[in-house]
Amino acid sequence: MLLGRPLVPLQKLYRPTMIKRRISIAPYAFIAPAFIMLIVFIAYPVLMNLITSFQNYSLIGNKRDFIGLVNYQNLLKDVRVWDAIRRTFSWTFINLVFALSIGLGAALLLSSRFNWSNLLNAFVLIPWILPSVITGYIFSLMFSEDAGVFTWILKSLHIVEPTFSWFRTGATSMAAAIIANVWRAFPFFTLMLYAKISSLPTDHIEAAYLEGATSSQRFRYITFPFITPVLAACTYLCFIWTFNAYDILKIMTNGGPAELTTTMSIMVQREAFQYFNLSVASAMSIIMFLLMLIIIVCARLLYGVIKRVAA
Amino acid sequence: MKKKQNPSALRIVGKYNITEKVLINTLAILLLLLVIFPFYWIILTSFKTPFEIYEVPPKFYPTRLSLFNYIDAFKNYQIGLFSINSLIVTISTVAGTTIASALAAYAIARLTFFGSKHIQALLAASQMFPVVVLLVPLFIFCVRLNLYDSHLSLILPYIAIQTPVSIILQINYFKDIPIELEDAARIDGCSTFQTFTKIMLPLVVSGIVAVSIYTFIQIWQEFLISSSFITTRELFTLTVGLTTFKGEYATEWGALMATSVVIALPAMILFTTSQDFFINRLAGGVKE
Repeated sequence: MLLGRPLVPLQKLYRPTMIKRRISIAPYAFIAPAFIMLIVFIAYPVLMNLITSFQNYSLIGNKRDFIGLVNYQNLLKDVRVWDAIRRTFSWTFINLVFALSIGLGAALLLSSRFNWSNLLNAFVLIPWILPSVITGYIFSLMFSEDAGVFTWILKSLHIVEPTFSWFRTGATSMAAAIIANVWRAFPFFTLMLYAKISSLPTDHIEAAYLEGATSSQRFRYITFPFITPVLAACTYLCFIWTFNAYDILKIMTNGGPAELTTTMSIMVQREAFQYFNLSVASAMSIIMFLLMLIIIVCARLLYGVIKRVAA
Repeated sequence: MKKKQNPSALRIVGKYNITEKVLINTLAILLLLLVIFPFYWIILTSFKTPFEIYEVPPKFYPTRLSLFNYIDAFKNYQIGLFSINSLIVTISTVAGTTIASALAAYAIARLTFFGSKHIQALLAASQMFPVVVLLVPLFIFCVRLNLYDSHLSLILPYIAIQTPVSIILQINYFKDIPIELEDAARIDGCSTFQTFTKIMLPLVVSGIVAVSIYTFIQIWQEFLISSSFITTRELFTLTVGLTTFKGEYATEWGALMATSVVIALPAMILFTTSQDFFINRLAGGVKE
């Protein structure tokens, strides 16, 4: 009996439900530090931002009165704002397409487990750990007109004329910044997709193989449906990150030439910290946030519909 | 942590034929070049003289390993000072975030309180607010509290911005601990706080360290807030310090890239120490 099992299994005796949990203040004490920080530095500022956007607050004049929707009206009448919105969308869309497709391609490549795939796996995250400011500078250097190695390669292959410069027109500046941003963004999606693909049960693939499915069929009918939820999560994250991206564009083009690469986040920052029109910047950031929210809600609904149709 | 050793999703029972092998290896080499080349170019440029940087055709290998760019960066561009500033800001943020979020993560994982079921969704939603939306009000707020242009104006917002992610990542570590351990502690008379410090913390410490490394890497490279809220040169962090190399007419590329190496190294080293966390936990967290 001494060495034998206890009469009542231990788990039963100590089941969590058997311990009376008093209503106490302890849980609130535990979450208090985090939530005080969140309320003071996130919730309150978001609310203040909304209020400021209805005022005419600027660091230059000393007024701070409510002027209703005037800021919004002025902004929506401004062609430059519409240009920035359009640019933000094309920047986000192109980045999203390239970062996700390269990310997925690399994940599939890694999951084919060739001899040195583990080595490559260790290196593939380098762009993601490298601080984005540094990414901005190294791509500025590689694309620069006189010292740029990419520009030099293109020139010596006679793809572009000898006087070519990436940062002279809006389209090529944007392209350079997009290349840098895609380079930085895709490894994270590779990592997430690779983790999901690795957890795919082999039996499914083997069964499909025995049934004579080609590799594209195996991808289409087995791998792809299996990774769709992660792909959706990746798209969501990539959208939020790229839509709000600031660092790389700021470093590489600073919105130039002639405002042709100014996206909304660059515009908000400039309005607030160079022109000190705080209320205008607030209104702009609210517009930006609302646009993002609308897209996310629409995408969610669309995703739900597609899933239902597919099922 | 468990390592998944599933066979390939693409490879089937047999082996690749020679064409497939060549194709896969070519693509893999291209991918390797793609991810490594810009990083290699940073290191290479940090050893080049200004003349070599503008040389046509450019040299793809270092001719000498002289540290003059590094010396230049530290002597003439106050990189030492910026590094100390970055360390102060980052370490304070990591400490604050880790303590606040460990407490909260434990409460959310294990205790019941008003709203404890929905709090995780709330935290996830708070991630949607772009920093740009917070920029102006935080600026006004910091000016009013006389914090503007001080390290505190960075540290406090950073803690608030990093805390939700940190909590979400830590909750899983707390949930992994068998509840029996905690109940045993409680039967032995531990208070909730004692259970937390004496039983739970020692068990989740490796997870918490991994999450704080993630926070460190995020804050170490932050640029938007630090470049907007700090105007005094002596208070610049490293990422803001990088902008001082770019003059009106010329850029000191050599010293800039030397500084980039100095900034990238700590992040890289910390990352390699906790690669497992990044590959399994972080990816796994989003996977669900």
